[in-house]
Amino acid sequence: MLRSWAFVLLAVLLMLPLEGCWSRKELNELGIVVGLGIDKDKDGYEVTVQIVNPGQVSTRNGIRPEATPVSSFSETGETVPEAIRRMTTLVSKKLYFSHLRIVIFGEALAREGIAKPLDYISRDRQMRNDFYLVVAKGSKASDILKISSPIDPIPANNLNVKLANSDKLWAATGQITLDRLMMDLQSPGKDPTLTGILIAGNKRGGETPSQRIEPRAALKYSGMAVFRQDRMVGWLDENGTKSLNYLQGRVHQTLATAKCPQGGTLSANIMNVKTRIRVGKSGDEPVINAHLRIEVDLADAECKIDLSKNESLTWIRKQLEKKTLSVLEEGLEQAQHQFHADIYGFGRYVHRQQVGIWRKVDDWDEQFSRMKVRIYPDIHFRRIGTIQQPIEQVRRE
Amino acid sequence: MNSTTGGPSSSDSLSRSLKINLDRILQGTGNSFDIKNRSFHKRGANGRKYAGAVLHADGLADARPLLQAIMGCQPGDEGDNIRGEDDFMTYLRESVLSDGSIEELTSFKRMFALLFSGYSIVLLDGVEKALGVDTIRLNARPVEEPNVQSVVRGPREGFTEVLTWNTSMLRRKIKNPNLWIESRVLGVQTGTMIAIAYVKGIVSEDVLKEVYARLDKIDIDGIFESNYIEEYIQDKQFTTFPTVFNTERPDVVAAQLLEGRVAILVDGTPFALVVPALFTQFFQSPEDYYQRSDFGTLIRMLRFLAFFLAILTPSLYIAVTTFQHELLPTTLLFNLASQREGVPFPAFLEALIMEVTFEILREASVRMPKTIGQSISIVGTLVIGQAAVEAGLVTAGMVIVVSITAISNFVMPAFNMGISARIQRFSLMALGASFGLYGVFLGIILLVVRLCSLKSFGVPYLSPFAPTRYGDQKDSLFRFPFPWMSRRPLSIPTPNRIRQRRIR
Repeated sequence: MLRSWAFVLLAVLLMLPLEGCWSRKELNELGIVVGLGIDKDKDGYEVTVQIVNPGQVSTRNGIRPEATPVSSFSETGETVPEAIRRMTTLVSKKLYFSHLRIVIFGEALAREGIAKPLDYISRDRQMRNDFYLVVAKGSKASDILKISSPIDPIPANNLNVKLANSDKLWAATGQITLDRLMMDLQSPGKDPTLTGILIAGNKRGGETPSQRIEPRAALKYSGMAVFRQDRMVGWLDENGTKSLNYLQGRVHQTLATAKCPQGGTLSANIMNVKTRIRVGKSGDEPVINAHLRIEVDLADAECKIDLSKNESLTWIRKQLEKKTLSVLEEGLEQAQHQFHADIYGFGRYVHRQQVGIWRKVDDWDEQFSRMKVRIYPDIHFRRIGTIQQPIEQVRRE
Repeated sequence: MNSTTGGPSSSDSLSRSLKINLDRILQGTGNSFDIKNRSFHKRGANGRKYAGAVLHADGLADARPLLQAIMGCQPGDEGDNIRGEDDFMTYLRESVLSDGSIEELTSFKRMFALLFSGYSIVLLDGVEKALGVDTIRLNARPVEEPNVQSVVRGPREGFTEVLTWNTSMLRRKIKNPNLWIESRVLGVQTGTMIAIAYVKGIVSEDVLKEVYARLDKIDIDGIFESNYIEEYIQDKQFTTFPTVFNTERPDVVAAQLLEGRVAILVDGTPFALVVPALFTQFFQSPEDYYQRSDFGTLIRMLRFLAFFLAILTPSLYIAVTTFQHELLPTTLLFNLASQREGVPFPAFLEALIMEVTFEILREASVRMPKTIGQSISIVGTLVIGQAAVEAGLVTAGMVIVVSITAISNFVMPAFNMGISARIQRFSLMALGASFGLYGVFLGIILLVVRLCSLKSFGVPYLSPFAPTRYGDQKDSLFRFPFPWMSRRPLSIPTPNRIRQRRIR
């Protein structure tokens, strides 16, 4: 009994030095990468990483004003992992990617194709699925990662939160994570999109955290980059992006405005959008019927209108429906005739609902460009707010 | 009844001569000063003289009333019947001595046993026998509130060092002829009295037989605490988990006797042993039953949580911060990473330093005279905790981890289960530091396997969880209201399963 226990104990004790603590890393040995930028270089890639300087983020030790909360480093390589390995000559810590918040592709790279660098991002063990992918609009990704952010000390984290919030409340951006992008890339019935980001203001002034209340430069999301397969073909504007979110049923909340009958404008919170897409047939051609059930609250009424009357609410409803329809059709027009890319994923619906037609299609993007899409917005009023009549109306009387 | 010890044949038996007997006693005790000898002479009715002596151990016995009775006696009518020494002794025993328990002794061995228990010995010249008279005067700690296992609501009395008082407390709780208390004398040198208590008809005969079998095997020099017995009768020597329950509360013992358990009380210690013991039992406080059941249930769950915290917190912390960083929320990672800047030791060493420091503090505060205990705790909390962080030796996060571990450890009502958790913690820490979460979970699996293999007097240690007994779940993790617990626990074998009538 005693002997066998001594044997087990010895075996365990011998095991401990043998394995040598493989893959053990203390927290202070890690260079925590929060932002990854990939740009085109003449023969390969220029990779930029944004690394957190934890002592400057946590408030415990008191922040030294001369040090920045993050540092960005750039290095070039024939492939992305080569550039990252080469970075060891530049950065003292081991790069650690599990807490990546955002990945930025330079526009030049995006136009050339993102499939090659994506392979590393999706193959690497440390990459998770909770960061967003965006495209730098009209600039290099490395420039974006060099701009400081005024409120959140970590710019990459700032970008992550900003994207999530604006997508939830404004619906003119898209939270594209790695798995969604991979799925869009591989599905023949859908073309991918990525949110665009641009530097608003003076790029030079944004590189150091400034003492100014109004920052010299800020990062701003703007529209979405449209891809055909993995190549970027152009930019959707704000309404185009909204139409994309509407038709994909990804609108959490947004705001729409409409004109009042006697001049003035009113705005409505769009709360709850349910999109149902039915694929019909006319001859051999597929026809998309998109039914949108939209719930709205009145946000404000800056005009003269009697809200106690049912007719005026109906009138507003009709106006909003008309407005929504025009926004959606504007976006559709861009996708169908400007980019020839099925960013809505209508191909998937055709595949599911009209498989006969789907099998006969050779080039789906070409088919999409000339396809008929009918949109039926259906607006339901829910709440008009805490006051009834517009202040404008009361004041005049 | 017990006078047969020794047997009449050997030289152990008393002599007819008073002088020889006295010499033997006084020389046998090395003329120890505390053995007091008082000789007396009495004249019988027919003029015959009887010489005798009264012996007692000073401090243990109060022989004064006995001596007064012997000196003051005047053989009256019965005097005519006294025809010799034997008759005189019978006269003394039956008519003179008023003490409750009188025993006729023929052997020195028994005589010494009684002498050192506080009996007075009456010797008479010309008689081969002696009288042992119960004159016990105890100088013992009175019944006090239990120190270790205290409750907010519930009885305030705890066992003392006196065995007879302890058994009397049990009798007072269970006024039932079926409460049987048997006694044994253990310890070759100390001759310590132990008592085995159980409720006849509820206790399982198999368990009882096993208890006696194990007690019979004990051959030990001396017994000063119940742990001396525990280590002889426990099922497995090499485990940190206690398989014998101990308590200093008579109410706990009484309640467990009613569940079919056997209690072993030892003279000289307030801690009684109870077997068979289950794993869950160590997480049950009498308070669970003295407060309403909902509260009892919640507190019990809290204790299990605290147990897991006490075992796992440092190892999980080490594993996550040195291997599985991706499990941490990003902001927390930044925080912990900033704390670690400038800390020279790896997380494991850091944890080890803090844990060992805490163990030293804890041990010191137990041994420390009570008057300096306060200052030690201030030194411990302020100097070790805060100063160590400010000096950059350990991270603030580690101090939090170690302190929550330390406090959780003392949530457990059974101190010995807390010791077990402390020991397991260190091995899990080593596993976590060398293999990460993988190692921690291997360690947990090993622990569970070990727990499953344990038995206490034939009862699986992990029951009612493994083997699962659904009826017993009412009183393991939960504490159901009393009207719902109409049956005794299935885990403890008992011939009498019905506790009370079921109420609809």
